[in-house]
Amino acid sequence: MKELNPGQWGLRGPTESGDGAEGYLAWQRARHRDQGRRTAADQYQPPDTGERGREAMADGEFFEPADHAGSDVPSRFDISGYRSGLFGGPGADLFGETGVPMDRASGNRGGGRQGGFGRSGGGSGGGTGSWQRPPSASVWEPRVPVPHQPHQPPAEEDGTPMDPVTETGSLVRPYTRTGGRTRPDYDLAIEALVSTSDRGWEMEDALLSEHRSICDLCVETRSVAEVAAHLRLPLGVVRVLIGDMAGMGLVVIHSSGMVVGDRPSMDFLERVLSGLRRL
Amino acid sequence: MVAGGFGVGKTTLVGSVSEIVPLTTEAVMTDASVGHDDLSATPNKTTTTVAMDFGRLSLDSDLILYLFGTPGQHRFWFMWDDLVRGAIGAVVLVDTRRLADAFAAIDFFDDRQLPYIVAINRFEGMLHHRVGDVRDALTIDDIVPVVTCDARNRESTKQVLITLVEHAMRQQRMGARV
Repeated sequence: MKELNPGQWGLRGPTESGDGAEGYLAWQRARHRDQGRRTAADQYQPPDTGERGREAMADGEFFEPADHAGSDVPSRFDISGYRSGLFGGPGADLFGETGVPMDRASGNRGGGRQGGFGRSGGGSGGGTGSWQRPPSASVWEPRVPVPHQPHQPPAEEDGTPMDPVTETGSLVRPYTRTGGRTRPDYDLAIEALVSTSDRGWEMEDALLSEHRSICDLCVETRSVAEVAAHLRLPLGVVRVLIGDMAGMGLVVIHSSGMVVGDRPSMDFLERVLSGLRRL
Repeated sequence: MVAGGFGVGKTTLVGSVSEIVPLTTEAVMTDASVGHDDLSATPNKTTTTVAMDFGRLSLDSDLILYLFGTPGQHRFWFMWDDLVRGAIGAVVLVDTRRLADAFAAIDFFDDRQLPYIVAINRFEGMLHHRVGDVRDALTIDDIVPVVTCDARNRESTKQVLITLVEHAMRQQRMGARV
């Protein structure tokens, strides 16, 4: 479980999370819908209810979600318990989330935290045991204090918006992975070449699963379009992800340096031409 | 960029010179008016997926040429703008039996001032019309090269690309003089 095969990090249907995945997924689907309906204001919870929410989660609510699906009060607990997950979700933009984890450590914790939000996200560093449905509540006890270490940034900042849920199809909308952002911070051309930086290598274990997959792919220099095709993610999503990674120094984006205004320079065209003739 | 109507052989042309099996990438057209909340609740309603084939050609250790086969339908033109930026030029691939399919692409490249050439794909090795007739029918500028090709043939496709780059260079020289 520590090392997920990067080639299959959850892009392929819901089969790989093992036994019990069906029911778990069904519940997630329901919960996801539920979250979708909530407004931003609903997501803010006073700290005390937040505590209770987490207790409720630890006491088994997490494993018997159907009990709370319909009633209002418990589902409020549910929401506050998942606050970090929610802030990392499609509405993350609303809270000024940058999309870049603040530090490695919180990225690591994200692995465990996001376990509540998604299936088989690829075990980004820590918390790898949490990707499968736990056999008993005791396994999850240690998670309870995790979201609020004293030095933890406030909820608005601690939710990593890269949702690790990686199913295709209707379960998760494509831009959930980017925290709802559809525009990258970088002006990234479709044919821009991307390669993994040294930092990307060193950080590999601590990365979010999407970032890690991109790092793995871009060991060989590739275009943005290629990355999108290989990961089977929409181009726009990959642009945002790569833009984030460039901001974090995990990948290097190569500019041709041969473009004058909108058009390639004469030198560049000549190189292309002689290259074509040599083929 | 390789443009042209549906089924005219764009993917074949890309595949004949690409060093990789042509890949397909997707772009999601998102309805900007849809709020975040709707995304998880109404799957498959708010977005449309567009597929686009492309191939790759390493010309040098640090020079990689990408060939993008554009999605033909008009409503996907938002992707064309993306592709035009930084592109060397475009090949408008035509099937003489369905010339009209190429009009939109030609208009588009004229409008964006992207160098383009017209390549007539010879289906079953037959040329159904003379090149001059095609030029007249498409009412394109005399400086735009019109060539014939066999999209399945690597050499033929290579020639098409060389013609395009030469044309792009010519255009640029002319532009520089103006």
